[in-house]
Amino acid sequence: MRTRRWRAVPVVAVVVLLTVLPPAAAQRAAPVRLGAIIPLSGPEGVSGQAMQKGYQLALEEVNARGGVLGRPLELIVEDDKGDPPTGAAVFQKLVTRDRIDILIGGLQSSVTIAVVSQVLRQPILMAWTGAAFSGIERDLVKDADWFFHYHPWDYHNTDSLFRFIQAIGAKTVAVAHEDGPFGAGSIDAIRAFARNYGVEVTFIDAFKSGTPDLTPLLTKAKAANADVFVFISFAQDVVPIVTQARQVGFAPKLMIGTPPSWPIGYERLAAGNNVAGLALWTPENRHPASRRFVSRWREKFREEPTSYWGPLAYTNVVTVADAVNRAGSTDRAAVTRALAATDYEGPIGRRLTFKRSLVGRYQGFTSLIAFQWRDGKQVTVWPEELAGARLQYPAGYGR
Amino acid sequence: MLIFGTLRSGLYALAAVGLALSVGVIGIVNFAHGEFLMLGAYLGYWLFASYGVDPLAAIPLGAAGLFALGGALYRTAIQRVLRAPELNQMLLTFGIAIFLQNLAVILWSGDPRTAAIPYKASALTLGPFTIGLPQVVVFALAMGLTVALYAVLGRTRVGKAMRAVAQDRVGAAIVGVEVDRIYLLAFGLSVALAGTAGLMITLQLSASPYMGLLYTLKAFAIIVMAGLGNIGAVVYASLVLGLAEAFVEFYVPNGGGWSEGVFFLLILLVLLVRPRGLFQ
Repeated sequence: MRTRRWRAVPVVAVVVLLTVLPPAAAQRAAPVRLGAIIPLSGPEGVSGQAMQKGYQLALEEVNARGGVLGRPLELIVEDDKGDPPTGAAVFQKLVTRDRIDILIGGLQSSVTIAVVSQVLRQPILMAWTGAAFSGIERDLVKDADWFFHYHPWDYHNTDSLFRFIQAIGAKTVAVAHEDGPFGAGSIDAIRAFARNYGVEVTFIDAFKSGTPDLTPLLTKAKAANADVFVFISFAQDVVPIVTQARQVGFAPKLMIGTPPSWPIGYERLAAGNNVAGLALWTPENRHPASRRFVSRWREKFREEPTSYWGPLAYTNVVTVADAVNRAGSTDRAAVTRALAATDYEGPIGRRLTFKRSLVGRYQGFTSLIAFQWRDGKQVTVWPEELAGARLQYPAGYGR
Repeated sequence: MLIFGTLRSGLYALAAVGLALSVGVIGIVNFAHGEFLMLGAYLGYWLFASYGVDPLAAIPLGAAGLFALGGALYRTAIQRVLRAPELNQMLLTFGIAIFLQNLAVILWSGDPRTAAIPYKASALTLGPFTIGLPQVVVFALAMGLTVALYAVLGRTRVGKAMRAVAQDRVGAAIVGVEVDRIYLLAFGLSVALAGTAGLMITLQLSASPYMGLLYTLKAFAIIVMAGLGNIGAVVYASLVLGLAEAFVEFYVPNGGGWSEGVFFLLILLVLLVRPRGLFQ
């Protein structure tokens, strides 16, 4: 009888192990899942592809360090094609089929609206890199405790523009903007910020994006005789603006462009030299973390990083992984608290913390840097602490 | 504004003359016309970026390449819908436009590409006026090509055959004109002219997968004003459009935003007042 009882011990132990260990082992092995919605195709496909590469670098780093919570970090990337209905559909796929823990990514405002509308019905923590249109903050995510926004809103961009204009000592500005929501949406903010910063707006006029001939507009802008000419345009309008400005003899002290991206080949265009731009980051950023990032990018992809979307996507994954680690679980409330306490200085070259914005609860970056095209490179010229060179002002245009 | 409007009409004429040919001779409304122009612009970009070939020097090669593409497309697709209802023709060419646009996005991404041609921002000074050198070149080329095309149509056997087919396909066939070959030639030539316009865009602007629609719309406005198939009047209609746009953009506050409205308004007015075209 006694022998029988002792014989039963290993059996009980095996049963206990079978009931307890497998779920625990499975939990250790099961990855923490992030889902990203980005445009891998369509007009913003290049930026989305840069984001995917940024994710790749971050994932490799995080998993090489042991993953998160001792589990591998997995990322499921979905292509929204720059199309809002597609963005909403892939969100449903990520939450219902892939059962992601946290939603990351994002680029365009229109897709963000579609995705956020879905999240309002199916709550999930959103660590979002996209969207500059502040109407989203005002109308959809006001005070939301589930929405972390990394990218500056449009009013942050305008604020940076006028702080830069004020810093260079310009007194007057002429503005040309494309007449869609991207360009026209910031005009009220431009007037308001100009007043606040003591800069006079001497000319504002609209143009249709894609118009091959902008000489009438540029002739009018020339007559306004402003110190600085700002053009709010898409990439396709940059070349006609800078070349035709020279053709009509329009030579302000500085031209500042704010396209989402610059045309491929612009760096070799002589007429494009000395034109300034604003961005979250440029490859010429001198911050050590930025230099490390650029060097890893070159090594891994055998190309130069050209837009800020790569380092921003990298920052997105690294900070979310760090927050999950600090939270000690994927519980939404715990990760929210941890992400809110983020203090990270990475490749963007500035500290990332989440603070209140105008009406949002968790806003990350709030300012841009200014660069000037010099011999095909975007040299950072403002703010001073990040500047790689002094701004050439007056920039010296002309035919 | 007179000078700016006149110069921009050069590019418009170049974009429209090929469409006038395909509408006039074959009677097909080609919604993919702007996409052939886009292909020409990319060809110009690649020839310049890879081999340093100036877009002007690339015209013979580019036009020949696009002519071959047009011919192949005619044989494989267009020919099959010539006797089908017009709606089928429109759907086919619209489908080709969407296909080419997406193909360009896949092959070259959505980012515009610009060829850093040394004289892209050069200007000529004429007394108190300064005008863009590339625009002057494009205007001269557009005028030259339109006059040459007009001469070919009026004075050569092929041209006369094209006109005969345009007037009466059956009648032309009865007197021995090989209608199908004339169609092939006209469509190939139309695509080659669109490609040439694309090369000239490389000279001044950027190439992007989405640029085609704008030029298709402008070309339609011009051929409606000129009178469908009236190639000689394409230059005058382009001038009307170019000048109207330049004046609206200059004299109307935020007039640049109205530039698309200008050509739709012109189409509307012409269709209401002179449906056969202003210059017919």
